[in-house]
Amino acid sequence: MGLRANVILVCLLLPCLLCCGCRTAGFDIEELGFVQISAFDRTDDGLIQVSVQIAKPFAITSSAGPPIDEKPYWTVSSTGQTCYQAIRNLSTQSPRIIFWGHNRLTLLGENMAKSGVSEVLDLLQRNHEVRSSMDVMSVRNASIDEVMATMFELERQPVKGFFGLLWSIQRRNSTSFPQSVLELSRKIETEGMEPVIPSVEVVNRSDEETAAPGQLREEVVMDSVRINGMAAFKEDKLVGWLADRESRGVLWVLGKAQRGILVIRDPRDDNNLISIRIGASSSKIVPEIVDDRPVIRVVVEAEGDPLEIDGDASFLHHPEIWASMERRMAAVIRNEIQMALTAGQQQFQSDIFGFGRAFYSKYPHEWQLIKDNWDNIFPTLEVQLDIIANLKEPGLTVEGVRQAQ
Amino acid sequence: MRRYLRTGQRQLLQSPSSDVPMKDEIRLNLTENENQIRTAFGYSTDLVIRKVKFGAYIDTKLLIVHIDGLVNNNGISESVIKPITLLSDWPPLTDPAPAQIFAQLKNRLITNSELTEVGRIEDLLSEVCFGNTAILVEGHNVALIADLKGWKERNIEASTTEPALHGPKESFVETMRTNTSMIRRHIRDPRLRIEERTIGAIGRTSIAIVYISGIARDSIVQEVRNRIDRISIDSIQSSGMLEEFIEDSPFSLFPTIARTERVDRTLSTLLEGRIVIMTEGTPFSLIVPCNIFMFISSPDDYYENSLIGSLLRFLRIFLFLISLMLPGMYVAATAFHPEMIPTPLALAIAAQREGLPFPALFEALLLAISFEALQEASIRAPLVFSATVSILGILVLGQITVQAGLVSPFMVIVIAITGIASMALPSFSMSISIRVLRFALLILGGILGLYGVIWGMAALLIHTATLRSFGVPYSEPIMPLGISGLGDSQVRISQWLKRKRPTLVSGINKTRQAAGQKPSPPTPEEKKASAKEEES
Repeated sequence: MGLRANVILVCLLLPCLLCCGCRTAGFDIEELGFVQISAFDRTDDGLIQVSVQIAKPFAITSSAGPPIDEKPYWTVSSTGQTCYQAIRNLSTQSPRIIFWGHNRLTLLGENMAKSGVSEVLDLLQRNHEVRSSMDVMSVRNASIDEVMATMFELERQPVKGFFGLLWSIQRRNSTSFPQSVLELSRKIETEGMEPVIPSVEVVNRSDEETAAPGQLREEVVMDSVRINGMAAFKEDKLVGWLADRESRGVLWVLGKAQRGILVIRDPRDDNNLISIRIGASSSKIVPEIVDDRPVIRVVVEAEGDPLEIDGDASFLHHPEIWASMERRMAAVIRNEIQMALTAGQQQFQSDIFGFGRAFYSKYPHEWQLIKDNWDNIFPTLEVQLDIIANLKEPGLTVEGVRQAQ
Repeated sequence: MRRYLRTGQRQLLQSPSSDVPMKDEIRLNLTENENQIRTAFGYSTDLVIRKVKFGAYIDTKLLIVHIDGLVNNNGISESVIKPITLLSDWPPLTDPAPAQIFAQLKNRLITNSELTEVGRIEDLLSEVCFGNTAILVEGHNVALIADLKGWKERNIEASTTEPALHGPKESFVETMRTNTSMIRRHIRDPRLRIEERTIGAIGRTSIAIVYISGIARDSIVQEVRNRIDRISIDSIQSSGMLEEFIEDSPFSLFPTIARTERVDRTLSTLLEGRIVIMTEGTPFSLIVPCNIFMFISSPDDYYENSLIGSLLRFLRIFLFLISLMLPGMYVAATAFHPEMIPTPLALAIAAQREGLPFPALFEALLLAISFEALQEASIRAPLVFSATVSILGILVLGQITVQAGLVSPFMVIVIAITGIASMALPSFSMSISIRVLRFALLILGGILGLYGVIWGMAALLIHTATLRSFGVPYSEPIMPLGISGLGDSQVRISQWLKRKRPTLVSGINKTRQAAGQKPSPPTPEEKKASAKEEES
């Protein structure tokens, strides 16, 4: 390539460099206020309240420096007629440019959730700084300010605490399941499927006895939070709360219940309890049309390991008792799903299981006929449950402790 | 040797500003000749002219001319002076005419292997300048030239600029003849061609074009010859100067001629069909045509397992990119794209940058320039100051700047990693180009963010794609794709897989070796055969 061609190339490229408009920041990293948790709610006088926790980088203890006895975040809130206005009103209090790129969690207040969250979701998805992959949770029985004021004993940054909760509950108990802003919005938009998102509530600890008698130092115990089941939505509005076992019922159907402990009674002695650790599960929603009536068949296949056996464990050698335990495990699962179905169909009348969506996929033409009437069909929809439970390994020991004596 | 001299003579004839008595023939009168030689050298003190008598009985005088320090004194006394003075009496000459004496000298007495005749003063001077010894006979107008060169030269030592753990240690020295002999010693085939040229009207530096006939492509050899013959200069001190005269893109930052001081590396490139140019006085050989992958390969790649060799290549490509882009990427990410950095890291960077006086770009420039200064100082400073340089470098760059709140520790880490990455590249000529380009990308990244870095990289890519080294594309064998060369580019395949030489470089002889040489356990037939042998 000759010199002239080079010059032409440079002349062509230079305008591209200068005319592009993707430079929005223009601030160095230390001039930004990193939002870690955001929360939205509606005040009693109809305004939108936004509350954010902004990281204080200088107060985050590094391994090298001495421990800093200072909260590593700053909570600030403001109000406005719309979400965006409320956010921009934060700048009257924040000396740093508020940066949303690292916001990983957003909380929806109860008032806001009941009156509809589409406004917030629209803002969060429209804004280029915000990650749609951030998790969303619903606040139950508390104001967002109360939740934002809680602290975790194990984490200095609340965002890490919330994340830890979501992860541990997903990996240990399956009584709740993380949902991102994107998934929430998608489920709101999808026909025949309603969203469920984790719900968080405040555990009041401040009033508890803080110092045991004889203890020298009085420890300040802050309020903390716990994840309590999930919040069921209908379209963009909160319609009700699912307790822990109901939530797991929903998650069984959705195929998301992968971990947790099921307690069954010993088939030979009802006084003895056996804990079964859920190992894996899968589910299939099979829509059918029987006599022009839509019917749903849910096939759930679950695996578990009996890992706490109270009493005689010799039955492990008897296949018929083993099978009976599997039936009892299936019954527990069926029970959980039934609770969820009752809540979803009767209480909330919200298709949080995505049955409508399943019909849409399998019978697209028939769906067109029933979709407008789905809200009426769903509460009385016949749901057949088909639970297959398999027990696998009884842990490291075979004989029970009591038996060995 | 003769060829070498002939070109030297031609060069001398071409030189316009020589005040040497040009066209004169050697005279019959010895004193006149002596005077002429002395005048030509302006009575330089290193010129040695010894007058001896031919034996004990004949009075004819002989003149022995050489330059002190360029000749082997033992050799002169053993093979020139001793025969003339002590051994010339028996058998006695029947006719002591100068022509007879000359013939006697040439055919019998002078025991040196390389002996030529010259008839002109000018040629004689040139020979003497090259370190040869001239012998003139009273009454004869032809001089004998004996090659008795000998001077102090550096020993062959292990390579200091391209160290390798395994493999041969020897590296080139300043004497070209020693260097060509090292090559010849390893390629014992008459097809190894060493063509010599003399460049520089005054310096008269010898330059050798070394290639293997048939393996090197004739058109490229001819191109090398043409480019070297085109040079008209007073003197060339080092191959670096020669490079500037013969490279394809003089303004490109990328080196299009590879250098090495390793003999093994030179040999392997010769066997690929590349051409090596050696310069008298430079312990580096120039390799043409070269491609960009030659700058990330090290001889050790070939002496280790091919998997390890390939992994090392990948590591070096990675380090190449790191040393090119890391500061630019870091500045772009912190100043423009904080959302790209993982949250804990972003907060840690923000915490460290708290209260720093400079924006990220200037912080990076400050540190990068200090690092360059340190690197330059450690090369240039006399050895006695090296401790001072390193202590100051460690203190000032590593500690004080951070403690004083001028730069953040992260930036120090970034610049340090970049520095280490660039030093891990086996070729200094490439890493020095990257040092410059790194600044360009840093400034682009600091002004335009990742967008600028990407444009910079795109421009570099386009540029390397247009580069050529002696007509062969620089990014060969990737672009244009050369299957046979791919095995020795980003990866280094096993020796027994390397069947062909690089397509674009090599000449007619393209096959390196036979197929199917992968080592394997003996086949049943072979086992049977060896069992039979054992029985018998």
